[in-house]
Amino acid sequence: MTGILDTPSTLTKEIEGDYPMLLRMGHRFETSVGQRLLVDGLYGAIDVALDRDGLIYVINKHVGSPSGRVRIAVCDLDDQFKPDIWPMPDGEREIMGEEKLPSPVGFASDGNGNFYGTDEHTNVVVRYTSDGETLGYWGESGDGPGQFNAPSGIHVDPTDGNLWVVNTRNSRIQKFTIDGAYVSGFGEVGSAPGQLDHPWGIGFDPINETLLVADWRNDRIQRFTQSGELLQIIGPNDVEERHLNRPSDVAVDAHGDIYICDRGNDRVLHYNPRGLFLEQFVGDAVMTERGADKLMANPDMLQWRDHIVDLDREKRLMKPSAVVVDDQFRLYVLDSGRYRVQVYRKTFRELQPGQYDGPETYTDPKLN
Amino acid sequence: MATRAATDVGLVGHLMRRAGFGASASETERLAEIGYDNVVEGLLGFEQQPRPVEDLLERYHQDHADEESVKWFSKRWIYRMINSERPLEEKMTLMWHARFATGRSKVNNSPMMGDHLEMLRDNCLGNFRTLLLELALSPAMIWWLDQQTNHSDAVNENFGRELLELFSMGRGNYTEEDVRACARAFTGWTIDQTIPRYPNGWYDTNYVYRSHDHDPDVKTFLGETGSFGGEDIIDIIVRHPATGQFVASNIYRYFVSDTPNQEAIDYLASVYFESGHELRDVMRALFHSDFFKDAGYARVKSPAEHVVGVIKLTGEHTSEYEFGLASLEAATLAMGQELLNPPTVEGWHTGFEWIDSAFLIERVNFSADRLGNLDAPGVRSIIDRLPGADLSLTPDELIDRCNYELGQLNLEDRSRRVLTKELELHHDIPCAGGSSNPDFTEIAIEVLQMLSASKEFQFA
Amino acid sequence: MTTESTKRDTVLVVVQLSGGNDFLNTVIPYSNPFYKDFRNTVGIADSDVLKIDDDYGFHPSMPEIGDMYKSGDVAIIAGVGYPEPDRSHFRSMDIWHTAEPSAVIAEGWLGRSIRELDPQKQNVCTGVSFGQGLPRAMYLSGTPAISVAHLEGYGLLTSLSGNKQRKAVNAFTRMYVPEEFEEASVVMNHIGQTGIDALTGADMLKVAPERYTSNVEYADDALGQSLRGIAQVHLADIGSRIFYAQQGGYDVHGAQIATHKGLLKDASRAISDFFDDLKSHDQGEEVIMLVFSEFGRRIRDNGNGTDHGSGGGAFLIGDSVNGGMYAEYPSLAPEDHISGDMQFNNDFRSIYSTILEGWFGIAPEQIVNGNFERFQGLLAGAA
Repeated sequence: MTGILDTPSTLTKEIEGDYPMLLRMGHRFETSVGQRLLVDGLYGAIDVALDRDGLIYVINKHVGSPSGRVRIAVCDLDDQFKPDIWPMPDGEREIMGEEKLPSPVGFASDGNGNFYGTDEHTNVVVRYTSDGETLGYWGESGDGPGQFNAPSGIHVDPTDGNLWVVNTRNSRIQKFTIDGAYVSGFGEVGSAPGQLDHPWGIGFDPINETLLVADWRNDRIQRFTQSGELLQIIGPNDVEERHLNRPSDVAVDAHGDIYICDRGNDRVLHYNPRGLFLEQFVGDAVMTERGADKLMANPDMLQWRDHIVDLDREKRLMKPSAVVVDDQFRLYVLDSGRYRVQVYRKTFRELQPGQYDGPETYTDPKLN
Repeated sequence: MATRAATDVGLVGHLMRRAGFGASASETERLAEIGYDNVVEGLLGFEQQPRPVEDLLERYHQDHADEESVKWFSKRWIYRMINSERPLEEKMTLMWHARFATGRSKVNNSPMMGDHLEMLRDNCLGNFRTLLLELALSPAMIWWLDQQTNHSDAVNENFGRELLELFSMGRGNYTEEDVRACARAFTGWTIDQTIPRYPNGWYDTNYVYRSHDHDPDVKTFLGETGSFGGEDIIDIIVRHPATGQFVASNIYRYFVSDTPNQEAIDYLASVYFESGHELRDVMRALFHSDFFKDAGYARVKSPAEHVVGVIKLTGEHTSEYEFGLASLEAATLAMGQELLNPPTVEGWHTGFEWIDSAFLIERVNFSADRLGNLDAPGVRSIIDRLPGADLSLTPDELIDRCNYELGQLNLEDRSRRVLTKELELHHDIPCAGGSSNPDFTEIAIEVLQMLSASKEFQFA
Repeated sequence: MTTESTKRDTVLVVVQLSGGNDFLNTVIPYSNPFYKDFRNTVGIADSDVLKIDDDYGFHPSMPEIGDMYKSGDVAIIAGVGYPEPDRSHFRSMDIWHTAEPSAVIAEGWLGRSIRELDPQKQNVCTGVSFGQGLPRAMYLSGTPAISVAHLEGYGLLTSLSGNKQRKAVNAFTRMYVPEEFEEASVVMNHIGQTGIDALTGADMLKVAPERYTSNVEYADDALGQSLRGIAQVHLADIGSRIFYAQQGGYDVHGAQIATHKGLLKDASRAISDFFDDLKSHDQGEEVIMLVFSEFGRRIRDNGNGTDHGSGGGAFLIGDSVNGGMYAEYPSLAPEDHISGDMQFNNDFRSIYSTILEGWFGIAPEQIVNGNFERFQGLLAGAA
């Protein structure tokens, strides 16, 4: 079948692309890292990025931070925290003025030690290095092409190194060079198919080079070509249990699989490229060593734990705000409300033609 | 007092200050056209208005990122007081919050405080029996009054006592034996052990009933005998004459005047009983009564009313994108009212006790500062509305016009004399050009600031 | 001590270290083997401790306080607390502020002291607090107390500038001053009187920076600036008896080493600057300072910092204080811990009582609601 498929789960065009044939075996929970600390911890965590050094970089809003500054926490998969990165304060002060504090919201890496952060209050993109240096910032306020009105999600285009930036308050998706030269853009405000309402996170499908946008206030994910043609909607037509509730982010792995950070429902949903629901993650965290150290210093709390009726709640995600995948098929969920990152790893077999019948042989439901 | 027309702007302004947090003069004029009785029905039937969707607020403000912060609930509440299309809901909730006080000083768990606030909101204008019952089931209240340590073999009377003393009948209407029986009836009403704060932050907790810890024996309470449980006790309480007086006098002091009027309270108490303890009916009777309509500016404003009232005049914070809610929360605190943290189980001391030298400086500076900001849309709109067809105003006329915009304060003669004297350099205030005339704007702003610094502005 | 200075009114400065100061890392029992056991991560090395005897020493970033201790001006009161310790910042702070651990009340112990010191309310500046908002310790309904964020710029209608403000304040006065012959409600008169009080206080405080000269350069941190303001007001001689200042940030669950170091450094410098300033004006003897925190912290560190505990400590500082170690340092032996905390040996109300009686000559029982043991010999000249 070609053209628009109006199935119960998605409104979709046939998604073109050289997607691998796959036996998806599910995700294993791998680890959870992080701690609730104002310094060297995740506190006000809003977005996560990975660099090729295998480290996890989390950008934190300044809530409670003694300096009132943006803070980037860095740790590895063994829960070892490196010193925080405090982007150059003078740079920020220059951008924000003394009174106005920045509101970081999006954070992305080019995989080569460069990071890009958006600030939705001051309408800038700031460029950082993994050493904490601020290389510069740019951004002009406004609703015209190349201007910002609350930039949020940001993604480095792997094909040309340019940046895709989501513009929340005027619903535009724009492409810039890393120095801020405007390349292209699309998007309009609304709730009709193809329109956006306060979009937030953005993902990039490396197989067919399309864009997936977390259409936050429309409770859906929309896939667009780079020129803005709507290809797919995931969300509102779904069965009730899978209605999205203010999805904040979306990531796409090297197979084209889609991970939706369903923030308002405290979970992450996994879809195949065609928009078929596969599995959901509600959290499987185990206590980190740092967390255990913390409890050891509080013997009364250790004792209370023996009386808790539902300790299972500790595992669960709370207001996750971002998802990102690495080249090892790990899925990192920024569990903001619980000050940690939960990490899963996909298990699968890649299939060869001949090991797999292919969609053209499938028409009606089968049994056994 | 002569009957006032239903379209009287002053009367509708009074209603909005009491049933809500005030309204600008232009908004009040619009409401007056609808007519007093219709406005009352709109306020009472607030379910017809949608509750605000607060996703954008949560998205755009920093504070929510700290899931532990009770302060965030306070800021969000202030935003809602400013913007809710159900002002009476927030006003009633604020009343019950002060009366059924719980605070973060003891309930140091923000999900519990947030749930408690939501419970008050859900029941603020419903049946008083339901409200008391939900109060007894609220984990924050259970913790606040140590009810989780009230066991069948070791009674803790704290909740039982306050239920009678502070939450319903008041002292003098029951004996120590009644307190004991009440506390025993609530044994077994407790909460689950929640997950401790470390290492992942707060988790909320749930009410649970433990039947094995409930004292099932026969109790005698206020002359009635039975193997009462908590619900039976509440049934008896809400029927008691003293409870009618409690509800009526609370509502009277909060909505009408700092000076009690027994006749009016008796009338409200009679409505309470006739309606089967329906708070909505009591409030409807109140709003239609003469004693309410005649009670303009008879109450000292609470800090929350002062701050929110001023911001409603300046027209700020109507957008979720606007930062600075923290400064409003800090302002109420500096004026002596930290929301979600009342100082004691008795809530705040009200009336003239709101006015203390440190607090008064904060009140005066806050209102003068905010009303002096020409960038605020409400202030700009006030200035724009001032000059009518006239090309000039006398000082007295300007004071009257400004006072009208602020809600027709009950200006004492002396305040008026002082302000007129301040303007005496001008026989006429040149207002040609209105807000684009810098001289006129400056003078008008000063008048607004001075009015807002007056004693009279401390009242609502 | 000159005869003249003994005639001056005694003054108390209360410094609140907010967030729960880690007393175990402030006055360090460095020779105690348990200290090293339990303070794996945030422990201070023996060699760094500023030793005061064979067992105890100050945190290395407190050299000024260490020197003042050597001069006999610092009394250390270890193991301070109250029964059934509460580990909530808010509740525990309330308890210290109201001197009432069992019931939640609104009135502060300093508010009640102000009422005793100035029962006729003759001086609205008897109590002056520096910082954001009036602390509950100073609050007592009907008793004026001044709350100052910054001395420069403090006052009424401060958003108006220059001449405009003068005119506005003038008009304010005329609107507020109660007139006997006018018929006004009790409430109106109360508000009027309160407005005049507020204005009087603002006028009195306004002169303080104008009259002040000093060779002492305070640091720019919040506590340093608050104490500078207190010195200015005190030296302006307007009759203030109780001052309050706060330093926040002691809630060191994480990154304790760097954070705590910085805080104690600022505190040590600010306190020593303050007393230097007073001494240079020959007014060191009539001022004592109480330094307290709402609680101490857990004995065992959490791998990065320390969590809320009990059994903290306090300091009493000044020329008129007989320095030294008062009270027994709580045991760190595991069998003596209460839920991972040090046991308190001294009720904080004993400190209050000693100050109220010995320094202000006020009967403490009414104010702290009970009779608590006094520290003997803590105050010079006091019984």
